Amino acid sequence: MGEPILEVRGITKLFPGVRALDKVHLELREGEVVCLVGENGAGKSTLIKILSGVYTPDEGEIILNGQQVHFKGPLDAIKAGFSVVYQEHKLMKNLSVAENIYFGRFPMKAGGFVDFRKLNQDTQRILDDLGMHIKPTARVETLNSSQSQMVEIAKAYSVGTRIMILDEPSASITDSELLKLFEIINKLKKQGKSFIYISHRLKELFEIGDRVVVFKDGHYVGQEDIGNVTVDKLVSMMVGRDIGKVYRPKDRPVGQEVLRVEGLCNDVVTDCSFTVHAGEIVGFAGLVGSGRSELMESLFGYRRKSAGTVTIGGRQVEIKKPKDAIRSGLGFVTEDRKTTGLILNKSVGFNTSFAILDKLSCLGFVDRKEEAKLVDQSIQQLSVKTPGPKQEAGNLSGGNQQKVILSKWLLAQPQLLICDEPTKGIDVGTKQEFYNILDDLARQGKAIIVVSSELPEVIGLSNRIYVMSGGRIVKELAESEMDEETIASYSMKE
Amino acid sequence: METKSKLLDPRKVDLSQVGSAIGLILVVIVASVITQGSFLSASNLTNIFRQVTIMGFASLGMCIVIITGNIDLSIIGNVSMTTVITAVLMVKEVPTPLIILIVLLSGMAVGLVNGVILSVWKIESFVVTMGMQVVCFGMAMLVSGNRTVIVPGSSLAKYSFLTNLAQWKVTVIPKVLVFPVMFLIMLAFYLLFWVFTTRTKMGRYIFALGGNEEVSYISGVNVSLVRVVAYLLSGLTAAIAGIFMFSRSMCGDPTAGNALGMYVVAAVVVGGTKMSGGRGNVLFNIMGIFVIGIINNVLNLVGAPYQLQQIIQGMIIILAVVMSSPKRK
Repeated sequence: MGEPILEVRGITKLFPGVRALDKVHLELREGEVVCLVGENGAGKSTLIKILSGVYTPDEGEIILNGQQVHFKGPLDAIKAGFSVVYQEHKLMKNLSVAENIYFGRFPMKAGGFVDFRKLNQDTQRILDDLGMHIKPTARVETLNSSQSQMVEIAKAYSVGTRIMILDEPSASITDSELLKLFEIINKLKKQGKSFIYISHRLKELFEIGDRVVVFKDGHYVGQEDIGNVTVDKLVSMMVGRDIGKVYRPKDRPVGQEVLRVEGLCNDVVTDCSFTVHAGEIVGFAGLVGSGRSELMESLFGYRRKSAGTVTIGGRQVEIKKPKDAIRSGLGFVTEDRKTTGLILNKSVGFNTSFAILDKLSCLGFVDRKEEAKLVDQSIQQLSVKTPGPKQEAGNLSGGNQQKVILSKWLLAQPQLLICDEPTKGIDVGTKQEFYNILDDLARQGKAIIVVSSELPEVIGLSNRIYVMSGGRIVKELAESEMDEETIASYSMKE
Repeated sequence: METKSKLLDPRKVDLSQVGSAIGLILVVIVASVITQGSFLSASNLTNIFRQVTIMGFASLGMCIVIITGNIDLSIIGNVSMTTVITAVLMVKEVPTPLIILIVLLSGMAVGLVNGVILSVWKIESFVVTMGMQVVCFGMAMLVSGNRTVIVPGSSLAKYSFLTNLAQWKVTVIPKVLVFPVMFLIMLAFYLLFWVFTTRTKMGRYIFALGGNEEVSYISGVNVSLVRVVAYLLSGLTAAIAGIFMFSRSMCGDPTAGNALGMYVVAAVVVGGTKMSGGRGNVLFNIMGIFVIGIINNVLNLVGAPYQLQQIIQGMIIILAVVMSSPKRK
């Protein structure tokens, strides 16, 4: 292992009323992957923003190659050799891969024209170097999540970045795509590039990390060589306590059939048939793009279906729009909190009661007393961390936003609750809370569908799992047949 | 981490709304100084109340539409059209209640067309309502025969309600505070709309539509209906503005709405309602119309040339939008 290339010493960052970082330190050597873990609010994002020049620290120093540096803005950080690949990609969607990679540094021909041939050739070389199979001329909006991520890495590589910060790179890509990402990281490691790798999915750290650093509530908790820790040890360092077994036993009493879907087709999925019973948690596994979300969208009337029947509680129902689905007793916690889950600029209370205003209104007027009561109950029941129901939903942390969405649908008292990636981007402690809530709901006799890309999660929660691939349900797995290898092998079968 | 710092301050006051209150106070002070007090005279204040009423109605509907995240530029044309229709119906000596009904319905018809087009096709509301604005001006020309409709005195005499609507006053404190009835009617409408937007289900949906249309749809809201309702209300208030416009000028000028111009949008923005949708308060609009109305009034009092008035008003519109918008990083 090489020399320390980056040292962060005693960095403190204050926000009004909050010590976001309190004298944290971190060391990064050449060709090393340091994993930074901690629950939401531990200060990981704040540190990234300091290292990328977005924030200036209130105390402490950043030492790069033995010299102290001060970043006045993101440009200084980029010049010093830092690049951040954010969770939400910051590429220009309407431009090509090559244009994005060389943005602002286009090779020029005489007369101020861009030399597109050279641009595309240079890009091709970079993509080949990194073993990425992407066309330089492809427009970014046609790429999937994993490919966009690679373009960002390629961009960082092309500017000669020495330190790459990957913020939750695995959040929106599948396991096989993750392996490809690891290959690229390993290739770059050999060239002496260093990485700070942030993830909530602890298992993968053991495959890619050299060292792991743990933050909690803005404090540095400790660091370990990856060989000396286990997932359990990390979790207890992160939450400061042993959280015990993450998943509860699945001895839920299974009741009558609640949902039967037969031969459902839409623009993405073909001939999908499945059932869900009361008291059952049914998992949907598969690669991103296998059609899981699209299947749920059609079931809920959010995406037009071209064929198929839906039977709820023994009665065939015609669901053409979400309103029909809600009337038939369905609830849908969608994958993307910001675009389909919450109205971010309205309050927690507004969002919580939003799906039941019909029930809460008399002659068009909302019964605000009853509403306040129900909202308070929901906040308590799911222990949503908010100063009050009037807080704007956009100001809550991801996990709490997710709780607000869940309570919105729970108030609607659905027979069947569909949860699409319910724990995406949520910290370990809150994830477990979610698992318990879902288990409680099932025990109360609700039928639950969980779509998830995290295999341990689907396996840990589900009574049965449907594996999807290429828009079809390719396999139904009973409890005894579930393991990661089996699911992975079926999801990759076309 | 930023989320935490915001959490500590849950009821952080919205700067743009405090801004409109501060703006109004400043405008009043500056106006009083510049005019050496004549601004504060009872007759001038009554005049201002009357002046802001028409803008008040027009921008009330605009406010609702802007809260849904859209815009309604047809209001300006709609006011012209309904003013002219009122005058023409009076020339034809149609009974008063029928005139009011027909005018309100034609105003709402414009809103209905806007709402339906925007519900069926995914278009920028700016473009559609801009087109409707031109259509409305055309209709006004068509109905009026391309000239100002003068109602003969013999007919006018039969309409004491419509002709006196702009004249009636309520004296609160003699020689200090005299409210025109039309202003009080406007206040009543504001109160009504405030209750509607904050206390009813449809009001919630109007805010939600501006906040996030996808979430509204997925949560079972008939978003098309909400949009149509917003535009219907906007058409309704434009028509009421049209009736008052006639009552003030006693003629059907097919270009009457032009005077409102972008002030209607400006008043809403000065009132702290966000152009991005989902945020705003109908009542704050009243501050917006006063800021715009007082500036107009003072410029008139000091005899500023029309060109200068235009320049200043234009700058105020930009300033208002600037103050309510985030900076680019």
